[in-house]
Amino acid sequence: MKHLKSLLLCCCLLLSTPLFAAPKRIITLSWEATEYVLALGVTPLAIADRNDYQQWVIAPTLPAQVLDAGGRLEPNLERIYALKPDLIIINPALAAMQGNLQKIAPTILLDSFKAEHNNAVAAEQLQRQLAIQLERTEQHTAFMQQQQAKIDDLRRLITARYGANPPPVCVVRFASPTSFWAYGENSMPEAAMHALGLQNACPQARTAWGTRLRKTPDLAQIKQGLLLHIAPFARQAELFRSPVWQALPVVKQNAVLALPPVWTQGGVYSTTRLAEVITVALLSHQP
Amino acid sequence: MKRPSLMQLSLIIVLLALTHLQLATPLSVTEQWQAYWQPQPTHIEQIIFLNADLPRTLLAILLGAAMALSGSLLQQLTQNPLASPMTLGISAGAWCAIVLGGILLPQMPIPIEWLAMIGSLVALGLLGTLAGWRQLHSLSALLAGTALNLLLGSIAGIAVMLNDQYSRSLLVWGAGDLAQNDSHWLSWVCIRLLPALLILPWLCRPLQLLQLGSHAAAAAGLNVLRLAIITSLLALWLNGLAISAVGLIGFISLLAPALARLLGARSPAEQMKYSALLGMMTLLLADTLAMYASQVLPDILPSSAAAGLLGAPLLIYLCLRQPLAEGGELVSPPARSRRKLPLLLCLAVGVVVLVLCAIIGRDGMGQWVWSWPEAQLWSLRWPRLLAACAAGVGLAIAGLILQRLFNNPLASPDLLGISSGASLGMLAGLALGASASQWWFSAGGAALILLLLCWLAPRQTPARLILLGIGLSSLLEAVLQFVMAQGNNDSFQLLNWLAGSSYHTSANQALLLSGLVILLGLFTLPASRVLTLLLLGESHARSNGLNVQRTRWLLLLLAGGISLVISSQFGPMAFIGLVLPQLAIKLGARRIHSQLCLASLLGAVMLGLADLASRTVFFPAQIPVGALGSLACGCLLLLALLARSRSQHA
Repeated sequence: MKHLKSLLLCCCLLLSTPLFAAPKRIITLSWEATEYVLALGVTPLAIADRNDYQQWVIAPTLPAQVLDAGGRLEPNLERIYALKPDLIIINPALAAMQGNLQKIAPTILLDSFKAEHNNAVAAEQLQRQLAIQLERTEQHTAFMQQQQAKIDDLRRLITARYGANPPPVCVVRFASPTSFWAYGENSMPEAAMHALGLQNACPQARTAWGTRLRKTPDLAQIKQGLLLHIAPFARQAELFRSPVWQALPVVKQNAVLALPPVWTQGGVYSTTRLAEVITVALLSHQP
Repeated sequence: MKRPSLMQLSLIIVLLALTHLQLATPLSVTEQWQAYWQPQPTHIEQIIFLNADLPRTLLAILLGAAMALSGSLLQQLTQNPLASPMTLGISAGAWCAIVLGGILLPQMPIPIEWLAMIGSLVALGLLGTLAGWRQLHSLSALLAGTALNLLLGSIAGIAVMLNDQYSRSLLVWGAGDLAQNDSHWLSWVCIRLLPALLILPWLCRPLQLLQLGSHAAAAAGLNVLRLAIITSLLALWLNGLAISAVGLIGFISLLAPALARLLGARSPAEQMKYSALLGMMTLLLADTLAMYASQVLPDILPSSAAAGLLGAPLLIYLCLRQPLAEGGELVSPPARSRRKLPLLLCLAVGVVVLVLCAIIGRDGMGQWVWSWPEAQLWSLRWPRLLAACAAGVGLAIAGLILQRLFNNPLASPDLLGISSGASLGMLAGLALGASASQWWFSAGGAALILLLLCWLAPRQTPARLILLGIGLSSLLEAVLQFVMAQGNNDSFQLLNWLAGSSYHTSANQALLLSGLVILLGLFTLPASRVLTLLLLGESHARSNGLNVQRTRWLLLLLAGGISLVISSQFGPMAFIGLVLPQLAIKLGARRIHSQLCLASLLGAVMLGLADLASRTVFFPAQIPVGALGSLACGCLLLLALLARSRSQHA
């Protein structure tokens, strides 16, 4: 029902595009939408949780003039109103507010993360949809070509180093010394691995975001391959000194590498960036 | 029934510990034995067994004892059978301090156990001031504790929400899980726990004396104050250790001493021994359940949630059985010498403040603006302002009714369990994946609890109903911990709801809410005579031809109805319904009519101001209005109490 509604809304908006000029003043209230818009070369007027974006998502870089629209769960309606946007983009966290936002400006809901679809494919589709609406299909095509070229380059680098059989990798983010979020089916890190022709060394069942909380001893199941953990992890010392950690096969094989802070719940841009950092890690690995 | 001996209990603990280990590791018992005596450094299962599974079992035993002793000490000191760090709000204080310390002072590493200790002490201080130090044996202590739980929880919630990415791992940790990677925490706890336990034998005799009552104990030559300080510090330390090591695990500290009493432990020494053993047993059992569930379920079930699911039904049972003193008065009665209240003047001031709340705002660049808003901006602003004001009015009226009904100044609508019902309903909605119609789920949950209350009301005394509400809110906490422990996006949506936000209110919802509150408020007017009669005492009311039983039932239904309307929209809001009626009395409203008017006016003004602050103070970020309102009312109450104690000293 919800999808039907948003689809209908998108159709209406698409039909109305010939009547009105493409939206210029855009406010994005989710980080994945912010990424789509920036990837199309459009600078949003304001985004939600601006400071946290710069700390956690980091790239694509946010131009300095972009304002903060408040939190992602409760963006500041009065500021959004005062900025007079002509398009607002939200995700399902704000679905209940769509009616209110609609009063301020046309609002579209982009549902990027669902268990029912392939998140990586959906990210491309949603960005294309947005490109049509913003009349930036050429930028989108160029962007996609550029990303594909990057991925091809990375694949070539990996093949040059490892030949036809690169090691499988497992990407995790530690939550505490005893637990971590594993990235499994339908997650962006797995999409990046597959784009690079790599296997996921710690496959997980499919979920909406592709992440799942697991226990540290579960890492013992990785018998071969690389363990990549996403920095920063504040209690790293506590984990690394523990005998369980030191006994893990991956640790003994010296196959643990840190990834720089990178966003795992973004779109095409983030996935390529994930592919980049994974490749850098793979190439720097000295067995 | 013959009481099981300490030997038998120890035997059960050993069996439980073996089961716990057996479930954790794929190694057989003989292999476990081998792993311990002839460890092979290459065998990964052995290493995991020695460094993860064994420390976990031992830690469960140690911390189970620590938590149980902490609860037992508090119960013996306060003579309150339902006292525990969880029900008195002390654990919430410790958790709040740890969260604030981690977020505000990341550069200044204060040891976590000291943060917990400071937080617990502050919470205990607040509790004593709120309920009265001499009332800790009564229902008042539990009411104040539950209110503190809600308040401190929402403060921690705000801090977590303002730093959401950072806090995700904090949530996972704080959810209370016993998993270990090495014996670091085991030795950490040992060093700090065992010396503290050496004090216990010295406390047995004084605590025995205290069972006679504090006056008699003092007459027998006991320094009651010194005993109270030492015992409470020890209890807080034990509890703080457990929180620092594994996060919040609440129920053990309440259950184990209660079970010990059920088994017939009477003297302090017996109570402590039995509590400690039963604490070990319950925590081991809960953790075994948690491990088993985590193997079966797709998600990890933290030990605390398992403890809660085991403990909450028992707690509710205990609440319905336990005899408990009702406790005394707080801020009332008002000073008789007050001049007559200028109600019209108050009304005028209230209207001016509300108009100011409506016209002050910040523009796109964050500059303060004060002018009549444009139509469109106004249409964004008024629904939430109206909804907040209506909630304030409703909470004030419901609070007034309940305080008269239970004849207890600490009664308030958020303690009835209806808001917990709303939150549980909301959780069910989240679990079923309904994003649009969450309102129906929360209203449904609240309505269920209200029906239950209506069914129980003629059968139980009012104090029991409140205890039931407290039991329900503890059950809610257990379920919450499971959701929070996943540290994902749902967790944050839930935190936001729990902090009481008016953000999502649409124009229709605001109108409906205020309409319902006004309607239910009008019903209160004919009830006001009854409320006055009830205040004079039950026998007096009966001699005036009042059907007390039925009246109580109707009044409860009325207050419950108001609470349902508000909490299904906003989630729980602590302190507001408790403080405003008291404040109205303090300002000099003597008759019930003027109390009703003034309390409603105060409610509207308070939450109107809270809404203004939530929009503008942290611009462009927003703070949920309920959390701000609770905080403001909590501060007002403290000020009033401090002023009272000063005037008493003078």
